[in-house]
Amino acid sequence: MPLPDRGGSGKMRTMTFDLFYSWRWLLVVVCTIYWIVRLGQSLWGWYAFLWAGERSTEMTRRYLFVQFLRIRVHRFTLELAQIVVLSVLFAVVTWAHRYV
Amino acid sequence: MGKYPDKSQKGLADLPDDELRSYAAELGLDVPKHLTRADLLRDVRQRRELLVGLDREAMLDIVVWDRRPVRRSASKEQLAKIIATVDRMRFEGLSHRGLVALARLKKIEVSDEETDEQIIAKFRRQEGVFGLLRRKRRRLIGWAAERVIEGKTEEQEEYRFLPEDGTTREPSLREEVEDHGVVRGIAGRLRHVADDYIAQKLDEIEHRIDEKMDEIDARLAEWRDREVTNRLRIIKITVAASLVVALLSLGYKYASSRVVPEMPTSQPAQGQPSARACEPGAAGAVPDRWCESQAGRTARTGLGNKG
Repeated sequence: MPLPDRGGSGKMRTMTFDLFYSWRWLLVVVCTIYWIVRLGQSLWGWYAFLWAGERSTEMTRRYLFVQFLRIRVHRFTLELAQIVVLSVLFAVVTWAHRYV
Repeated sequence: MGKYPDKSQKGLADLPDDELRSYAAELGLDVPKHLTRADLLRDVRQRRELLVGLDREAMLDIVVWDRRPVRRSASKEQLAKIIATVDRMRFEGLSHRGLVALARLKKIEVSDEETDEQIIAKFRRQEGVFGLLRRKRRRLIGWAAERVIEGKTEEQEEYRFLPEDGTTREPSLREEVEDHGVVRGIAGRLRHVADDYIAQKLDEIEHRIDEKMDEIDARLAEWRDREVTNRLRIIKITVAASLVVALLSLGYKYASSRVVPEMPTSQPAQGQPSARACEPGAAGAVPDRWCESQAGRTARTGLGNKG
């Protein structure tokens, strides 16, 4: 559990437990590990399924790839714009932590 | 080309606009909407003169080189229409006469005496920078698609022309009886009728299967778009939730710094000085503005740094 440094120097370092700070760290660590594991599992599952070497899966792979190439980004402009705006706001709020 | 019975120079001028544009497109010409009738007529006449001068075998060389499905008996107009859509810029395997014909159909001035390298250089000049970039991008995507879809490049089979139309006259029953006798003649005729019937039914079945496949494909595309939209919404909700948490964190940090200013509740951010850095003689340069803000907070809350 990380404990914040109070800014002391040398031998006198005062350490304090902060629940909110610890909760943020816990959230970051747990969410990141969960995301990596789930993404890895999903990618591995698709890879094992699509590259099995059978003719049917080979055709599925080709068809999926063609469908992927036929996606037109402009159909999702609104959703993508909202995501970009929210991400920018998130970055600004994170950056504002430095000045509070 | 039977749609345009009179294609003489005089007949061309009498054609209505829409038919003239269709005819120009059939000759492989690019027909933008803003092109005036006079310009269109001039282009059509130039293209017809060019087609007269071109060697048909050279045009066949081009379609064979680009592996376009075509009949050997195709007319020059049909070949010109196909060649107009050829954008390939790798000229390996194309004969010199084919290269010259292709250049002329692409409106590049070349002579028969020019070497292949000179003609190819003219093609590249005409392509331009944006065309080059587009071609490189397509090559990269094509390479990736081939690796994913095909796995390996297979050897191409030798080009074969499409089979010719069955335009030869079918022998009459009398001729068949004369040639093969009564029984074989009638049997042959019955076999032809049965073959035609089966071919017709097979065509109908194939058409229905194609329609069904198109319908399935459209539904899958719709499902794909819906799925992508849902995934994007999930990402949006996740980012929104992260933003809410960040706002909560910011509010908490602000409130805690107002209540206990000299006891920061979290680690100073990277590059941010600690409160002790404002003390006289402290190591490290700190902007005066930051120290002033710290002092202001202390004054407001009445909690000084007793240390």
